[in-house]
Formats: sequence, C-alpha cells, structure tokens
Amino acid sequence: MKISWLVFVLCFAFSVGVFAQNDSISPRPVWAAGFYGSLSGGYGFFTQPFKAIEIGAPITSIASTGGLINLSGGLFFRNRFGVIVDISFNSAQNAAVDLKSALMAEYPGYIVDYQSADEPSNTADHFSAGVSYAFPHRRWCFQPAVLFGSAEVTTTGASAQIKELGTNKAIIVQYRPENSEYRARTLSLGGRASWYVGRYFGLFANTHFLGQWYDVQFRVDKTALIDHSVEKKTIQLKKFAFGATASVGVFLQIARWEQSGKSLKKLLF
Amino acid sequence: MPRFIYTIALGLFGLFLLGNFKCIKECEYPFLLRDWQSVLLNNSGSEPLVSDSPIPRLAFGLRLSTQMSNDGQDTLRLSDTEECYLAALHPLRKIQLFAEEGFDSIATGEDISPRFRIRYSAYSTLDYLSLDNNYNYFNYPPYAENGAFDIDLLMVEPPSLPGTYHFSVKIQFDSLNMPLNRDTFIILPTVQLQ
Repeated sequence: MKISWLVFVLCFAFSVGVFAQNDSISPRPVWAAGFYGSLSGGYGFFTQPFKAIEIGAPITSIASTGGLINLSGGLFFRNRFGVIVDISFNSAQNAAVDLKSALMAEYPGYIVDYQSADEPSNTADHFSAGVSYAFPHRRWCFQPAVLFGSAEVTTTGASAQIKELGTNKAIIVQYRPENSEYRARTLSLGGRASWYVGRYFGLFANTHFLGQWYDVQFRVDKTALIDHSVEKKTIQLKKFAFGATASVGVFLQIARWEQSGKSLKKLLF
Repeated sequence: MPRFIYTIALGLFGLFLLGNFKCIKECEYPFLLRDWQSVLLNNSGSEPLVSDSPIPRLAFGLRLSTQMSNDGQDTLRLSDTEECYLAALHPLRKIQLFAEEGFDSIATGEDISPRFRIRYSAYSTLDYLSLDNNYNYFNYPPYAENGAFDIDLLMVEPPSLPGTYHFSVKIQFDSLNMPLNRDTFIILPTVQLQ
C-alpha cells in the first residue's frame, strides 16, 4: 500500500511533465536568473535500520515511511547552475514495544514493566542544501540536484522494572541517550520537474533519493535493587538508512527572463 | 488641595497594586501516624500480595499499615490556594525487625533489620531502601488521598531452610513522649516459609 502511494506520486509527477510538453503552446523565454520558493506535499519511503536491533530502536524516533511536507527555495543563475535550500518534515516512528520484548528475552522468568520517559516525536525534519543544474525546455524545466544535510533524530530516556518471579529480586534498567538532540548526516540526489503555468508560478514534482547515516548512543545502567550494585554499559549504533521521497506542489519565482528585456531589479522593486 | 488629590490617587494606586498581587504563604500540614497494623506479604508476582498461606522464603515480606490523621480535620486533602505540604507531627524515626526465635546464625531477639528493605514505589518508580534512616518519604509524603498508607518491608536475606518463623517489629518516633505517638511494638503472626 505504501509503495503504491509512492508509485502514484511518481506517475503524477511524470504526467505533469508529459502534459507540460503537449501543452506548451506559447514558447516560454529560454532561461532566467532569479530565485524561487516552493511548497509541496508527498510521500516518503524509508528503511528502518534499527528494526532488527531491539535495544536501540525503541527510544529513537527517526524518519519513517509516511507523508511529508516540503519547503524549498533557491537561487538560479544565468549559467543554469543554482543553489537549493530544502526543508522537509517527515513522519517519524518509535517502536517502544521492541525494548520490552528484548528485555523479556534477556530475563526469562521475570516480569518486565517498561516505560519511556517522554513521548517520542511524531515528525523528523530534514534540512539540506546543495547545488542544482537546470535543463529548460519551453514551459518545462528539469532540475537535478545534489544536497548535503542533516536529519533529526530524537532519542529519549527510558526505564524498565524487572522483577523476578518467585523472589524479591528486582532490577531497574535505565537508558539515557548520550546524544538526545542528534542530527544524522544525509546525502540526497534528486530533481524537480517544473511546469510554468505563468511567468511567476507553476507546478512541480520533486523526487529525492537519500542516504542517512545514524550514530545513536545510549548509556545503560542496570541497578540490582537489593544491594544497589550498578552495572554500566554503553550501546552505540551506527547504521545506514535509505530513503526515497516524492512530492508535488506549487512554486513562486521572481526572475529575469532572457529575451524579456526586464531586469530582476525592475521586477522586484 | 492638589496635595490631597495626589494623596488620594496614591492611595488608590496602592490598593490597586495590593488587589492584583495574591500573597501565597507556605504552610505546613501536620499529621499523625497511628493505628499501626501488620500483614504478611507474598511477593512472588509483580506486586506484593497479602497472604495467609505458606510463603516462598525468597518472596517473603510484611506490610505495616498506618492511618494518617490530623485532629480536627475531616480530610488530609491539601488546600488549593495555599502551598501546603504534609509533614509528620512526630516523624517516623526507625523501624526495626527482630527474630522472636533464632534461625541460622541468628539468636533469639537479635536485630534482623539489615535483612529487610523498604519497598518504595511512587510515580512509577521502584526502589528498595535500607531501614537505617530512609523515612522522609513517609514523614513528608507528596500526597495522601485516603489518609492511609502502607510500608512494605521485603526480606532480601531469607532463612536458609524452610520452616516456621516468628518475627516482631518495633516502630520508633520522635514523639517527645506524647502518649498518642508512643513507640509501637508489633509481634507478627507465625509465618510458614517454604
């Protein structure tokens, strides 16, 4: 179901381009220099690298498959190169049940009462910036880009009470994130296909393929309550995740079109 | 005449300021701990349960139940308008447990308090406290909705062999020899430990 949404958005993006080609009756000026801003909504697919690792994932919120909102803006120059700043807000998820099952497997014959210290975040933002190059053709413009950025990773503390059946023995396990406001490095390859409805605005479809490098670290304290002896250890998880996003939206731009005879300064002021 | 007007205006301004600042005073809400009772606990499961039947040695405990009261008040619920906090009028100072009959290397009448822990559970946190001086939780409880609370004591070093055992509890207060808060001595019923 989730993949089908991604395919749907990609097809829609492709159709925008195809119809744009057929629809381009009046030729648009060749190229422009200026800046633009855009808003789009879409869908993202992200692999979950912590899913198989039951200790780290439960208290780590990262981008997950689901809807997204994207804001972007940029400058484009007469030589067709441009710079892009891109901010997106992706769905995020937290698998709290995994830690409990992991602890139950680690302590057979115990009762595990697990609780997270805070509610995990429902969204994960992704900020990136990079360079682009434009291939304009009449009303149509294809703009591939390479972006470097960082993605939000939310980690929260958690604790579990582990009580042995048939005895008074109890253990408290506390997880404390070493990097609670961590941002993962990202590299995105993508592009946007724009269709100029008018001189200053249009529709576009945006697609990105990105890699995310997570490095999450937790400090774990296991306290045996009878003698209060503490066993400390650190969990470090370095994982790579792959993601793909597609979105469609509108853009506004202020530019100096070639052949138009209007300068950017005149358009702006 | 103008000075009179200024004086009136200043007075009105002062009244305005006073009326807009709400003075919150701290207050202490004293209570007494009395009517102590005890029951035996089986802590085999996730929570200690009152038990009359034989109890596994490794999961044995006892519960001391006490009533909180403050004379002249119907309830211990705190006032919403004042920053009040509960404070024991005569604080609980020490709880000691004794072996009424010797076992293992323990002689009859010997203090066996180090073999027990106070099971303290509040706000979803669990801790085991020694019986030395960890009583502020009970002398200054954060809340008291029903005017009563329990102190669970868990035996973490049980007798080495199953059998019948007999314990007693001594509860001491900083009571200044007032009769209402005199030290309490409870002899627990005989318990069959498996």
